[in-house]
Amino acid sequence: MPTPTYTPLANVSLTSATATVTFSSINQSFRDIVAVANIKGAEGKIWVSINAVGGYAYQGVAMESNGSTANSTYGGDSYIQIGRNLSGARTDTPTVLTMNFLDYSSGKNTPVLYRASNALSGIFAGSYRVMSNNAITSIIFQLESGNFSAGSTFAIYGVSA
Amino acid sequence: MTMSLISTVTVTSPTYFIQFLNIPQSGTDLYILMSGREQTTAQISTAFSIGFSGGGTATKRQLTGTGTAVNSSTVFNAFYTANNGGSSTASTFNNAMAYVPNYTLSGDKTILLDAVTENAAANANQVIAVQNYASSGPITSILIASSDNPFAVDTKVSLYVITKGSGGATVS
Repeated sequence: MPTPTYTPLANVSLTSATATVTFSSINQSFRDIVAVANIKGAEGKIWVSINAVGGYAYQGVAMESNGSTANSTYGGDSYIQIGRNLSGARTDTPTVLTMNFLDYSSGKNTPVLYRASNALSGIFAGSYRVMSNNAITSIIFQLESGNFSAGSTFAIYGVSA
Repeated sequence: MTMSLISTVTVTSPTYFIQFLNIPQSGTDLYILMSGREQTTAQISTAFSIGFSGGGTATKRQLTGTGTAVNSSTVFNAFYTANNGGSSTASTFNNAMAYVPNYTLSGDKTILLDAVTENAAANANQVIAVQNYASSGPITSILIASSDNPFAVDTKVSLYVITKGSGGATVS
């Protein structure tokens, strides 16, 4: 949720198809990081990784609503895996992704909250714990397959305590 | 600071409509906070509607918790009413936030919604929802309406704009 302590850190509006969007050298002087993305691209999951950490470093739970059923899942992943079948391929129906990286500079298994909303595919909300003892200095966005389309936008903000 | 208050409306006499006009186009995203209830003592569960300038055909998804069950549906109940009739707690309000990315751009718009009804009982709706609607221009006005009963006194809505920027990280 936005607060008056928001400070804009970086943003990009894609002008051509792009496989990955990376925010790096993130300022470490805030309490939390908030990311907001308006995503168009190939249908599928959105993958987010921290500091390029792989393996099963992300433990999470999620719930989803596709318009007819509600489900809840949990597990360990090599990425923060968001959504099941987000229909980003329809450029008139983008997926809006909001993420909160809590206490991101502490290096203490950063909790991550997310919500991805697509008016055709549904709503996906969940939390992950990043199993790493390093501060978050970079956040990498990509799709399960294919590219982000031109017109996709990404922004990150710092939130002061 | 990147978040700026545009306007707050506080209802001083019951009204069916709350409107924001001439929204400045200097921001990136819109953020709406609302605490509201309907002027009635009946046990009701209707929803306020929210409309934007230029809004056309919409697609919707919603996840609702009722206190006793969870439902998935293709609706967008913008702001569930609070009420003080029947089994609801007296003088309770509904609290909600809506977020609209890229409101100044041309093309379709997506709206996120979180809402919860105050009630010291199981009968209270919690909603997360998304709506995408056809649009060809920026959002310049917002209309929040109550169809069954007017908004009660002390209903309050605030509109903020959020502006993105750079200088705190490298993007590639």
